[in-house]
Amino acid sequence: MAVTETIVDELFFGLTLDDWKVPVLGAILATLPDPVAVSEAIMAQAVDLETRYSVHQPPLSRPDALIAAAALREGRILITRDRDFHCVEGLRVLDSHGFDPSRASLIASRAPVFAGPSDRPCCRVLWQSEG
Amino acid sequence: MTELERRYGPMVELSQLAEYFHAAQRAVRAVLEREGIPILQFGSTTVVPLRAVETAFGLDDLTGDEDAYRRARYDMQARLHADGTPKTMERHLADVRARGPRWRAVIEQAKPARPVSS
Repeated sequence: MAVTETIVDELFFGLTLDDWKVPVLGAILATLPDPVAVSEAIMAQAVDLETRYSVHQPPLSRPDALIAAAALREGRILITRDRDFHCVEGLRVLDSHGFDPSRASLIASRAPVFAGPSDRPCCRVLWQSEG
Repeated sequence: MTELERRYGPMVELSQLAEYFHAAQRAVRAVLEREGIPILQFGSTTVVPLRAVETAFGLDDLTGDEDAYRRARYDMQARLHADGTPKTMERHLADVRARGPRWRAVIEQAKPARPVSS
């Protein structure tokens, strides 16, 4: 498992060093490999995703576009509780609802699903805009 | 959201509670202990589960999803400058990297010390 440099930034955003969450986040992130750096290729793909899914309701946010692009470019499975990634075509997503980090085997027992625009109203404009 | 918050809901610092009640931290701590509310210590910071405090004292106006608010602010600052003008992806990443060393230091500090090899 790994996080990107942008995920680290998002987790700590708005916190000051004396916030109780900082050492807790630090301890969790210290158990993971060094954060994945955002390459030029990831950045370019994030720009594409941000543009393509700007018509989704709600639009894919820039931080989420960067996360999705990193997962796609690096061939990784995105482990998330966040529903905002459901529309990103080709992204493999593993739902981490109820995931307890102390029981990693639980997450390994779940199967990722391919994301992509659905027939729900939130994605409908994507179908229309892409013909 | 941390695992701690997933299990117990949002946390509030004891010092913030004391400020809210206009009371000394020691007095607030004594009341919390009397009510059986768990008091958690992280370094020099003491936190308690907000929901337990609300239930014990009926303080509904203390609720609020701080993380959702932080996330909304993060999404906005990723796209826009402080003056509301659009920010490029390159500029956003430059901002991320400018903040990076501070948080990398926190993560490094949390790593267990490696044994010195002879």
